[in-house]
Amino acid sequence: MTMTERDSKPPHSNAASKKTSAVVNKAVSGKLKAFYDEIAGQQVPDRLLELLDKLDEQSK
Amino acid sequence: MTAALPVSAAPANRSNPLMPDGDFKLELMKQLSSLRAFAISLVGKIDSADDLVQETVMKAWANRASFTPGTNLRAWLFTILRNEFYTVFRKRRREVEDADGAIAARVGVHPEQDGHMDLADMQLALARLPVDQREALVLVTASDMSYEEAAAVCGVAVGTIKSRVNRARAKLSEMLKVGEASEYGPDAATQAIIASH
Repeated sequence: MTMTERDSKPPHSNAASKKTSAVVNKAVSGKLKAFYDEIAGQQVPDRLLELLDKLDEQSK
Repeated sequence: MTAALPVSAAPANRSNPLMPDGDFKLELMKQLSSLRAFAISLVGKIDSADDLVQETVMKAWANRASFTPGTNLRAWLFTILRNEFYTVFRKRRREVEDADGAIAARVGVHPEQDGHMDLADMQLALARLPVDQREALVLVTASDMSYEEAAAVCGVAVGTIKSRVNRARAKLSEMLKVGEASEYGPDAATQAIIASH
């Protein structure tokens, strides 16, 4: 219990820091992934799709 | 090093002998949303990022003859995008690096996403990372590239990517206050895990 109490303090104590850093890494990665997926899920602007059509047309 | 780097070659605008233009176009189209996500993560602003994607698409099309069908098109495209970003785009747009503060007003969060404060926070935090760390972290963590693929895209050693990712992650968690009890901190389940160790 004393362990738990000590380690639940902000994760800068030596023993806890290694284990918490793995958890923190996972949390950060998850947030970044959510950010990225949100953007990747957005509608691609028409101008980019039209550009591809135009390039393809011009090459014919 | 899988991704060939066609960017230095003069635009040939020839069809790929092994891949009809129509096929190339379709495959490229499928990659547009990941190209955008990478560009926005890199640049920080949606309009500028879309300009960068546009330039990447034109470059990729002009150089389509040099793509090897069956290899990783996404990595090939990311390599072009990244190269455009460093060689052309970034020089022309000084504001890309005005990371602190000024960018906050223009972060690309659509009105309907106003509730998602995490997105704006993440965008700001990313912008404050050194660009080499930012791209490494995004490629590995968000684009799901292997360290090897990311190293090929960035043209550096795998170990370099690993250390950049580690440093970027540490800085990002500090900026986002992940691991501390705050509104941006881990959810209850995560905190329970932290507490139980």
